[in-house]
Amino acid sequence: MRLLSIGVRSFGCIEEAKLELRPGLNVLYGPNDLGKSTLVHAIRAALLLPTSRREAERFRPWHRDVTPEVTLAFEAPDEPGSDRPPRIWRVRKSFGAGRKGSAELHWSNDGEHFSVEQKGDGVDDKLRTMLGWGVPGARARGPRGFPSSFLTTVLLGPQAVPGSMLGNSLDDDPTDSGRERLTEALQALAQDPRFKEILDEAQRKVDEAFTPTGKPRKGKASPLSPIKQRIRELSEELRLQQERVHDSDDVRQQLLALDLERIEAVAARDDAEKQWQRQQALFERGRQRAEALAQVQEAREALERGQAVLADRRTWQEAVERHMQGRPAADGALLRAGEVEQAAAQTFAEAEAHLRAIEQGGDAEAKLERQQLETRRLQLKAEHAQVHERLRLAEEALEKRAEVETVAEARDALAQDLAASERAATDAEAVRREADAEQRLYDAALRLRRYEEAEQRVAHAQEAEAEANRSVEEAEKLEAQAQAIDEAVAAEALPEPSEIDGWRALAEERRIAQARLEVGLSVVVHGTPPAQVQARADDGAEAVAEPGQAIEAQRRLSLAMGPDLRIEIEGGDASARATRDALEQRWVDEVAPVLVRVEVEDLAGLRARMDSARQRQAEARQLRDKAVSTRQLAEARRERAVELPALREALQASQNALAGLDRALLQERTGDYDETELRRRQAHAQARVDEARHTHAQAKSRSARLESQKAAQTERHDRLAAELATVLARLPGSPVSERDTAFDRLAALEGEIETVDAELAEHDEARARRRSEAEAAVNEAQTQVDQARLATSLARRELDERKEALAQAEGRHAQLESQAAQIDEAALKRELEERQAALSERPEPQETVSAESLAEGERAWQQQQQALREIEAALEQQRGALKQVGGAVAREEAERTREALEATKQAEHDLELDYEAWRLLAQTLREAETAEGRHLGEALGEPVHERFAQLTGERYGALSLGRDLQAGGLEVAGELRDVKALSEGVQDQLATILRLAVAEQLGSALVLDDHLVQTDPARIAWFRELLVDVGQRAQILVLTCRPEDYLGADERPAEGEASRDSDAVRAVSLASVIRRAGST
Amino acid sequence: MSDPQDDDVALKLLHTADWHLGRRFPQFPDDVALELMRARMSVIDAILGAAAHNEVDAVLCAGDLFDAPQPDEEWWRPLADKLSRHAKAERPVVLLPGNHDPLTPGSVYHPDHPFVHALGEHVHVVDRDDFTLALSPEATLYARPCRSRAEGLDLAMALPEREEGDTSIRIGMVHGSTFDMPEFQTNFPIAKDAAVKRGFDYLAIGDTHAYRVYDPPESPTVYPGAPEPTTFGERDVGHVALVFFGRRRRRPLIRPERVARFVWEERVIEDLPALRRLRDEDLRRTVLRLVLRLRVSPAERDEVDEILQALSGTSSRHGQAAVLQVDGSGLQLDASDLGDALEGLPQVLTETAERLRAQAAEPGEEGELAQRALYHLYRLVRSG
Repeated sequence: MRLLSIGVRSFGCIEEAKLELRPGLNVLYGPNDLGKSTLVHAIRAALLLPTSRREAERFRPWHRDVTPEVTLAFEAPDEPGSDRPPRIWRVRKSFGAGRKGSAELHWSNDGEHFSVEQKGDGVDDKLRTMLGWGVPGARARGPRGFPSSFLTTVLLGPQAVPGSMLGNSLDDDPTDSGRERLTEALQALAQDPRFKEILDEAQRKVDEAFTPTGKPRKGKASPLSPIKQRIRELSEELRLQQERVHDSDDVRQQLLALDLERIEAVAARDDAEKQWQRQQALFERGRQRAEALAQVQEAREALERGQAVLADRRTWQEAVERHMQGRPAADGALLRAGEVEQAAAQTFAEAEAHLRAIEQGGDAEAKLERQQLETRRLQLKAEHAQVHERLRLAEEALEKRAEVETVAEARDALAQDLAASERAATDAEAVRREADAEQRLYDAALRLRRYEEAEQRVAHAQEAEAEANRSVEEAEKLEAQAQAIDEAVAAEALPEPSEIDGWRALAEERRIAQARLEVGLSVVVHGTPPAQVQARADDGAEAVAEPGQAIEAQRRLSLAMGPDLRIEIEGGDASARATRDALEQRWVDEVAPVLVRVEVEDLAGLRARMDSARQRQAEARQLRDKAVSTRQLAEARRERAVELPALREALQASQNALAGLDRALLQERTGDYDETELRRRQAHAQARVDEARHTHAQAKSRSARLESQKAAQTERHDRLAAELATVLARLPGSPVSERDTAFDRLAALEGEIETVDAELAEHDEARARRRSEAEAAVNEAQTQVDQARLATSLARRELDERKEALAQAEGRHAQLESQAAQIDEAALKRELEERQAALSERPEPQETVSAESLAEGERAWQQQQQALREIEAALEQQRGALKQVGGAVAREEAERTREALEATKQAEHDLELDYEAWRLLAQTLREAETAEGRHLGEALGEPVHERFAQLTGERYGALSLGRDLQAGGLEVAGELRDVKALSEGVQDQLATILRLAVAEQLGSALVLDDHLVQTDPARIAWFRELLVDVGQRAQILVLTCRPEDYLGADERPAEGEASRDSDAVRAVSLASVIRRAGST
Repeated sequence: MSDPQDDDVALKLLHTADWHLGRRFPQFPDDVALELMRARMSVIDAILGAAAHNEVDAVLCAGDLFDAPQPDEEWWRPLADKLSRHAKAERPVVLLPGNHDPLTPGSVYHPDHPFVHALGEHVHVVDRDDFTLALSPEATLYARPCRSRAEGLDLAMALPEREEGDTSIRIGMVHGSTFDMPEFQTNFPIAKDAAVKRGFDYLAIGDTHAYRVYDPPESPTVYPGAPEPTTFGERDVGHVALVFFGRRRRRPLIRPERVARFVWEERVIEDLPALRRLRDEDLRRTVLRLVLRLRVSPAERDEVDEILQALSGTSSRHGQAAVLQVDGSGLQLDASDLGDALEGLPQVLTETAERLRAQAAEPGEEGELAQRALYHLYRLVRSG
């Protein structure tokens, strides 16, 4: 992950800031309190903090209600450790609860065209997955506070106690993603070569068959591809072959079925044919016998006809005689029947006259009696209605009177309730007034307290203002002191450290050149010199050279004899001397004046003077830093003082609120109560007021309700009383006596009506009985008339029939007489006998066959014949089809293909299992490796140790890092010492080296905020080199108030520039890119 | 049975069928399948050699000589060459289309096909329904071809019956299923008494791959069987039928003669010693299918692989077996004990093995996967 740019708006003390970052080392510098750490917070919040978390509250600007915003662009792969090219991401967050908070994540391949990846809650989930820093999903339950893990602390750690992260452990991470990421990154560094070899081989096999996301490879990329292709081919081949087999089976089955049908059809046809032939024979025999039988029958019928004519002739002759004898008796019977009929008609007329008399009402007495009874009944009914109405009125009056009494009672009860409710309202109002007064008392007491507090705040603000002024003065003094120191140092005009190094080299060269001249010299004065010989060896003092005495020197001898003669002897060749002279000249030109100016004797002195100057400069820096912090303090106090006018206004407002109050009395009554008690009592009083108001309102409401009910009852009572008076006016007496009298009269009337009804019924019953008897007499007479008429009719018909029968018998007899004369009975009998003999020669067949049966038999035979032809045609068709299909050949082929397919599928399954086993092996190797995990510490410990040893001149042994990367201790003099025992500066240095190592392995951005503050310049210089080196593999953001620690003068942006890039570093002046809140 | 050589032989025939040239063996790997396909062609030399050796009067090939009606030239061309190479004018070779290679337009036996043109004059293709050929002055061949892959027609019964007074040796030749074969009804059925009814002294047929002779002895119906096995489990396969008609008797003598190059054999191996013993056997002409049903440790599995490789051969070395097919579905690996394979190796590998071993105890595919993974680990460790 590499940061590309960050934009901040209204975030903490930063009003607005924008800056671009580059790969490698980025040094962001600026004075204290500019907002450097806020910038780091913004980066952390953009990457880790959900927008609605409470922790975001601290980023809200102090004096404005605005939403903090951060936009961070960075480069990262989709998944941690992925080999795919990284994409450019841009996360934008606005922090705040509810709708104020928002988050969006966009991605781009070119940094120009972005697409939305996630919005809202999904942004943090995606970021955390992408980073793989051991932070759980945004929606997962976890500890409160800023999301934290080992890697978030290492890579984005906020300012903290130097080296405190050495106590952090991967085991404390909420999820394993950070450990997995580190494990993956450190594999190459840490794995045993043999293990790595095995893991690589297993992974290679896995990669053959699976994609990086674990899905089986498809298409040609899969090692299963050939076998799958083979399976597809075989399956297709088998499908086609099975279709052929199926077709073949179909044809075969149909052939077999048709063959069977054909056999059955042939049998059926043969049967039908035989049956038909048999029927034909039987039919013929039957026909011949029937013919003979018909002839016999014909002869018999002729004989029978002749004999019948003769018999008929005799019968009809007897009938003529019988009819002639019965004629007189029939005539007498007709005469007697006529007489009986006349007598019956007379009886019927008499009965009918009697019935008509009864139907016309009977006698006058009976009619009068019935009319009287009916009149009496009507009178009784009328009286009954009148009495019943009187009874109803009396009962209604009684009911109304009871109702009036009930309503009156209810009205009185409501009046009592109404009075009670009014009393309750009055009581509640009294309570409310009392509590209200109490509440106002405590309210006033609290206003008094606010006034006192406001007084205190004003005093504090005034005090802060004074302190701010004092701090400014102090800061000015400190700055003056620093200025004085700087000026003093500048006045010394000390050389640059680089010049000292050159001069050291010159001194060394000078020393060497001098040494080359030290060849050893020896002089002996022989004889007696004219004057005393003074000799000086090298830089020694002059001494008298006695004759014969050897004077020894290393490089130079000086001999003087008198004031005029001096011999200088110098060792070494000319070039060595020339070199020495040149170096001496350079020394004299370059160094000696400086030494003289600085008033030191040598370079060591100069060095000491420069060290002293640097120390004083450091003091001056500290003084300036102190001045800056003092000014910041002053600024902060002044900010508090800025509120003074507002506070004074608040004080005045409080004072106004107390106007008219007797403060002494108030103090007396509430002085013993503290704020909490006052508020409690105020709340209690308020509660009582509320309760009393509520009670009063309830009572008033009830009164109104009762009043309304009472009015309704009164109105009802009046209405009922009026109705009662109306009813009573219609009653002559009291309702009770009227009711009783009417009741008794009604009972008597109902008894009389019943008696009259009974008499009427009895009268009607007697009349009906008489009418019924008359009707029966009429019916009887009618019956007798009808019988007499029928008897007359029968007698007349009998006579007519006898006359007609006689005429017919005479006619028929004459006709038969004529036919009988033509009949020869004997000849007819002979003919019959002959034909019976012919019939006996043709016996009756066992079965009778009709012409229909015979035709049916022929049709059946023809149908069977046709069915057979159809089956044979179908058979022929299937035989033709059989030639087109595979038959046994197709089955054999399909069987071979099926075997091949099964074998290939088994091989595929085997191969799949093999690759799954490879995957399981690779996965298990990694799990075991993660579980073992010691190498994480070992892997990271080694480079950390190397660098730390380099930094400290191998003063310390190896750093012991646990499997969870927690620092176990540092080896010192053969013993493991707790790193906390080291100085804070060394802890900070060790932690920085460790953090750099992690960032380097992950290739990730690392933020160092105000680190190494207690590190000496030499080590700072070493760290700068390290940062540049690590910057080739990871991005590093150094935020510092001491740019000189990391940047040469030529690497810093010029006046008016925000940033400057050099080969190794980008320098950003934060003062140019951050606009603080409140600044202009 | 007396030696036919002793008899005064009136007619000697070699009856063969079911060569199935060009048959594919998809159940075998490609190289093995190729070897088996080639073997089908090489057996022709053995057949024609037997014909020459026995000085037969004719070679009757009763159908299914090719596995398909339109074989590639790589199959018909070598056959034509072999027939030419073994050509002898007085020894006709008669080729009958069977149900695998029926006589259809475009088929290899069609008069327009280059195969037919490439055949010498001594080779006769049965390409008409009323085919007859005088095999000797006293013997005549009657044959009728298959014209489709399946048919319900009895070709033997369709041949002409012996005329009254005809005393010559009548040989019938058709291709089809005898009455006792499954589904014979649609595969050119041959009636039980067809030879008798049509008056043949010998009815030469082809279709099934086993050698069979049907009564009556004086009028037999004979399947010579396939000269080279086509699959495992085939019985009485790998022969041709040599037929001798004596002058003194009409009842022919029939003798199967083995011509096959390979024996197809399936063996079930249930322990390692049985597998080891195979190394001492001569399996050069054996198409061997091994059904492994044994449980082995990783070390034993190595040995199994080694033996199987020795049997099957490598790209640089012939195997002991002519062809090896292994059914390893019953070969169970028990990789819970890796022996000393992990000694001296990083602890993490031991840990890996422990984890896999725990999973290997699970039933089902999960355990199987862990076993395989353990074996992969074992092989990787050993290979290093």
